[in-house]
Amino acid sequence: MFGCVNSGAILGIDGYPVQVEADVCNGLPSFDMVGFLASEVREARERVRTALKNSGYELLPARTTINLSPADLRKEGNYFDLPIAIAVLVALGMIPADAVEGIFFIGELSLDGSLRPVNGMISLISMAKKEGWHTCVVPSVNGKEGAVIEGISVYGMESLSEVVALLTGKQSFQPVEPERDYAAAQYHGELDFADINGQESVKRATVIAAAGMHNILYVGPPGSGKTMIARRIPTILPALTKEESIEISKVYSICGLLPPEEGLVRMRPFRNPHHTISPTALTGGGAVPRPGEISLANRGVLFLDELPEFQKSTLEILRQPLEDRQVVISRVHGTYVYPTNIVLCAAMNPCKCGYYPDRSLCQCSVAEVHRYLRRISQPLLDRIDICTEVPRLPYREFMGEKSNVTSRALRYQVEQAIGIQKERYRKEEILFNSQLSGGKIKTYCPLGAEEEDLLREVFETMELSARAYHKILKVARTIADLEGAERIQMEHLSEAIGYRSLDKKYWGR
Amino acid sequence: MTKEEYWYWFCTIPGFGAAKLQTILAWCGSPKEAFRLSPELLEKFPKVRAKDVTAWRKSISEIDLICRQYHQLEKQNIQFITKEQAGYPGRLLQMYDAPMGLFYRGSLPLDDVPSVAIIGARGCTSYGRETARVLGKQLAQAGIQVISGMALGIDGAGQRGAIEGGGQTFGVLGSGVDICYPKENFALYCQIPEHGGLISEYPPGQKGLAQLFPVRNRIIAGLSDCIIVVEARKKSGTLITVDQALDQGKDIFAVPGRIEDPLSVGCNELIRNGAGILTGVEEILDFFHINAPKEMTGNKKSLKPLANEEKIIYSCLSFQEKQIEEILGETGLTVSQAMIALLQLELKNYIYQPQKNYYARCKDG
Repeated sequence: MFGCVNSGAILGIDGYPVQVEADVCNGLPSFDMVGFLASEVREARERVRTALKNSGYELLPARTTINLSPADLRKEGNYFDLPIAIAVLVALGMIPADAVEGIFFIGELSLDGSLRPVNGMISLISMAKKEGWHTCVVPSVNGKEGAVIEGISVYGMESLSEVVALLTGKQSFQPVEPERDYAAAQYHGELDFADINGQESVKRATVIAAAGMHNILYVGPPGSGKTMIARRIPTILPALTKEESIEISKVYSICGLLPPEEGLVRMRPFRNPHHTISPTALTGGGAVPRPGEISLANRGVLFLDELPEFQKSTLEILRQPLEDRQVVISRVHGTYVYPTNIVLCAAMNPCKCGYYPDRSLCQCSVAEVHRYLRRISQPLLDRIDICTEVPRLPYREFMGEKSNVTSRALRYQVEQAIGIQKERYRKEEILFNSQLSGGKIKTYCPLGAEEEDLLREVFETMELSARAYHKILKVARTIADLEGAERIQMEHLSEAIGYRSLDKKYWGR
Repeated sequence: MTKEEYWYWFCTIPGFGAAKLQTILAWCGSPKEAFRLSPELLEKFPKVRAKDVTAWRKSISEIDLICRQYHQLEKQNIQFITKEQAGYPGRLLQMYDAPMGLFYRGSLPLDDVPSVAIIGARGCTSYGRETARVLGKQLAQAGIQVISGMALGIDGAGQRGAIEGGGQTFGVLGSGVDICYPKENFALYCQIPEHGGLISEYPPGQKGLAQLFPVRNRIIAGLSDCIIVVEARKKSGTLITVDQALDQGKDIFAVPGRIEDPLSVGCNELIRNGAGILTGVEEILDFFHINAPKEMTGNKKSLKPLANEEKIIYSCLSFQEKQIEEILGETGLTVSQAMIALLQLELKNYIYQPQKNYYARCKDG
């Protein structure tokens, strides 16, 4: 009288297998569950018993023991209701034991026996595939999401009795159709770069940031259009590949944020948390760790508006994830790793009142300007490749209809540049120019003699740091890619120098 | 105790300014006599309050410590000169409240060399900063001493210009000369003693207190033959110096500005009230009857060596900074064309960036 079925749960963003065993034997009637369980898993006992009864299966007054293995990992979440119910039915002999072999079960039960959706389906199914199981039985709401993983059949079921009918062969079901072709969605909202008059240099900087996935900082007075431009970044970002899409969807699936009726996130994310956000909400964490905003922006853009208004501790926490492209959260029960492969986009005023260096409007003392700037630490500034000033526009500039360049045209430029990078880095682990580091910069950003001279001269007269030097090279590489140029030339370098980050020493001398 | 030690004590009693000390000195004859002054008598002097008497007595009780401090001056590379000694700036002696003693690093302004103060707002525009710098440089090249307060903004820029021009510049501080205030000007603070001197009437260790700065402004006015105001708001500390300079009978020159610029309101008002209009260093040279030195004549920039786009951009720029967006709008160049031209112009020293991505013409070579 023993039954065993396969299930799984989530740790970080990956699934791990869990064996659910049930034993029904004579003795004092009881229903015990063991296996290092969190209370929501322990409560499955009541749900499973009632759901079984309401689905028409009578539980004999017998001693029932449920074990979730491995016993040394803490089980959390609502994944185990269905596997427990199936294991009990196998133990009772209502489902033949060989019918559940190689099948992966997941789902929450409601008291009437219907199946409820769970989070993290993509990670769970990819784990199931890796384990070599051939079939997955999941709640029907999760079916589409699960079918994203190819090479494993996924059945979306409405209720417990449907699952039993499937396993006993009483009724035949069709697996959820996986989508034949992955089509990256194009941005189709109302935003467009054509809405923005003027600000050509800022638009240009934004295109470069998107084309090389460089972190970008906008500095400008209030009302100059920083936020307006940043919000339009998603309209020019390159399309997602399927692998990227799955990676993003995993995180969204765990958080239950996948768009309804869509198995995948098809657009690069654009997250703009308010500046009151806590450090934990930004990086992820909590008693039961969940991915934070920085992981939700994975492979997309994290936009921090009013950068200096963020808590200092919140900003400083960004340093390590920006460098390592992942964030590691350690808890007593385990270590959780979330990806943080983001483009950081930030906007700020140059001073408290916002109008510096326009001295006819800004009355901030030099000390005040410095104090405002000091809220952003140098290590964080060092991680920003492109810094651009957004000036206030005179009325005639921003009013009136103008034929501005559209997002569509800009996006075409970006995709061309991304294509070149993909080709160039096919043997490397990186995808974009912004990820170049150390020795790779030398290999992929060679300079001619003339360019070398220019950079040396600039380096000396502008007193740049070694880090700034590398950033200029990386950005110049992207500019060259945008022009389709093989080598970095004078104009690319000159332009990149213009985007170097804020040098604080020039502020209010 | 030596005569110098008495003088040192006399000049460092907290709360006793030049005017009070002057009356006491006139009564007693010398600091040595003043040292023996009874507190009851001291109280009878005008403006001496009970608080001052306490400070006076305290300083007398700590006289050993004060003497030791005096002998440490040399180690700190600070010199002390009193009103009575030779070498004390003659210009100051004409003031009714001339400082009793001066602490200085470097040297003191020479009496027979013309000297000009360049003063103005701390929070100035980059146009003002560049104007001050170039004026300082040209005055220095003409052999004129530049006096200022080493403050942020105009003051510091004028003094930097003077050092650049290879001349002498003197910073009158509102703190002890061993204290760098403001700390942003530390580099300048280190350079000035080698190209002139840092001067203060306050003893070493005195922190820069708000009430001391207007007092030191009279020394800036006193040390100079005329005053140049580059930028000032309507209610500006700079105007205090101007008032003191007027009291001392000095000439004022103001750099005119557009009527709507808040930082030119002060200057324009000075001009309306009779200050000289300063449109170039020539006015100052005329004032002193000096001929323009060679370096200054004929340094008009030639546009010949410039590429076409560089010429377009240079002609679009002025001394007032322009953001790159404005330049693009006016010239119709693309971002990358403009960037390469701007960088080249900057490297050739035709233009400079007062702020990142804001460009203005250099006023000089």
